[in-house]
Amino acid sequence: MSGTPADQGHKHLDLLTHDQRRERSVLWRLVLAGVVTTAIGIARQWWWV
Amino acid sequence: MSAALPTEPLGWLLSIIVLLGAIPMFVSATGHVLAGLHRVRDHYRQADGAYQPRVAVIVPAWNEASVLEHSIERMMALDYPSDKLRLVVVDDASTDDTPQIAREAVRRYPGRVVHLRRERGGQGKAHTLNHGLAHVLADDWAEAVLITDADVVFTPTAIGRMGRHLADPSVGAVMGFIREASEPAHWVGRYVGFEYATAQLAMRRAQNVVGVQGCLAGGAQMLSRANLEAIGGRIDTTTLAEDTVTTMQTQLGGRRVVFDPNAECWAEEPASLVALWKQRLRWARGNLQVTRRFRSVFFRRSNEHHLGNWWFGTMWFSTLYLPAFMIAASVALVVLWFVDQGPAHIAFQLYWGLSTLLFIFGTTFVLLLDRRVAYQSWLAALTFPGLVNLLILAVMLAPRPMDALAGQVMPTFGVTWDDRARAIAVLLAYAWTGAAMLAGWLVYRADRVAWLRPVVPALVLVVGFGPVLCAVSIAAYVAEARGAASTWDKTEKTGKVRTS
Repeated sequence: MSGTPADQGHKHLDLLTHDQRRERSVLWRLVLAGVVTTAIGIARQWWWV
Repeated sequence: MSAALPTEPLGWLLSIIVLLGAIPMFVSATGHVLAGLHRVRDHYRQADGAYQPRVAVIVPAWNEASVLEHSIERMMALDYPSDKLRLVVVDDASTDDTPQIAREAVRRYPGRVVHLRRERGGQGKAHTLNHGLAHVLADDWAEAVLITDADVVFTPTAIGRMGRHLADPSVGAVMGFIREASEPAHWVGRYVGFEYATAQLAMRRAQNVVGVQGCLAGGAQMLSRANLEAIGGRIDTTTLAEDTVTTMQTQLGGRRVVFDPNAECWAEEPASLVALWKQRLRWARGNLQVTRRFRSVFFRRSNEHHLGNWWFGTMWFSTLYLPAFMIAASVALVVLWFVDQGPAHIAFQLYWGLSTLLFIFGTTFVLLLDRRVAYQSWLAALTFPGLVNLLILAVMLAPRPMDALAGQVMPTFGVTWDDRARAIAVLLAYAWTGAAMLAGWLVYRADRVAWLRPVVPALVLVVGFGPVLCAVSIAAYVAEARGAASTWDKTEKTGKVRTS
């Protein structure tokens, strides 16, 4: 691994911060999946039943 | 056909059996919701990004000449301090060039690669690992041990991402995300890629939230030295699912098992149904063996671990016995059709209505979780249940348009689309949930016949990859019930894994 110990420390923290941010987005993806499912469910009741 | 509630006890009983068949679907849906809450209960707050333990990587290798050199080169080039990473290749009496490749690596990376050779092998991965563990634990250099497979390629930061969690002494083991990355891509791999995303990126996140994990990834598990020593310094050899036993032992010892979805590695997966069947049969039998061995922990509260968690236990058994749930629901629906069609209609609407919603929800969520999986496996994801099941889902979703379509299409096949035809179609739909698994088994058998092999992908498209996997589970039930010998059948690999 290249870089000074300080550089490496920053890199590790950057990775951790990046990964924590990524986990926040999982909730929004869940919500989006719920919205899509609900929309299809509503479409079913309105037009297809 | 008009819906009606049951009027007799038998009708109620059968209706309840159908609805109980929906338990696996509920568990899956709740798992996705829990996965969405991962940010609230992930382990990143307790991880130390600067913590880099000395890691001994144990690579069991039996005739892995096609993959080993590439894996070693990638491992040596990882973004991890070179003085904190050692590779121990345990050559399990290989008869190909594996020993020569390992010895060449020892020469090229002195002090960093060790080659251990077992002259008498063939006992399975656990025995090979133990040979390596005995060497690694003989001195105090290793602070953690990474267990992997010879064909697994780690992304540059994967080991660092796994190791940081071991800064927390309450964590005994960490696993990464194994991405299906066969090169060239093949149709089985696309289904497996979606399946892995569901099982790992969604369900293992859910298990992180609940605080318990079911099974360490065989190709990407890092154990702390303290945990290894606490579980006896060796891997269990009494089942075909040694990874699951290690997972259980770790948690029973009061230590956590953590999944890091961002610690990614790539692996080649079987390219044919026959090869996949061999692999999955071993996994399914192993899980049945582990369930028998640790049956006392499920659904029982403990102060030391969360293995008794109700959601986890329900998830465990509904996954293990998914085919039984589906067959029970299917048989109950068919019997109900003959007993009283009113309640059968309600039960079917509820069961398949739920299936439809959860299929849309689950598939959408998993494809949103990972762009690469979405790009490579979107069609496999949509057709995972098979075209027959998708037809039933389409009828549930849009009954009027589908009925109108059937009214136009069926006469071309000489079928008058009247109430009698509808009743027969409904009966076939009731039976398909269970019959699909028989069809899955027949498709596997077809893959064993050379002249039928070219049409197997099309057959899987119709029958569904999910039913094929369920058929493997049933084969595992049968094998365990018959007391078949537990032999370790190695999954054949070509060594071609995508590297970007």
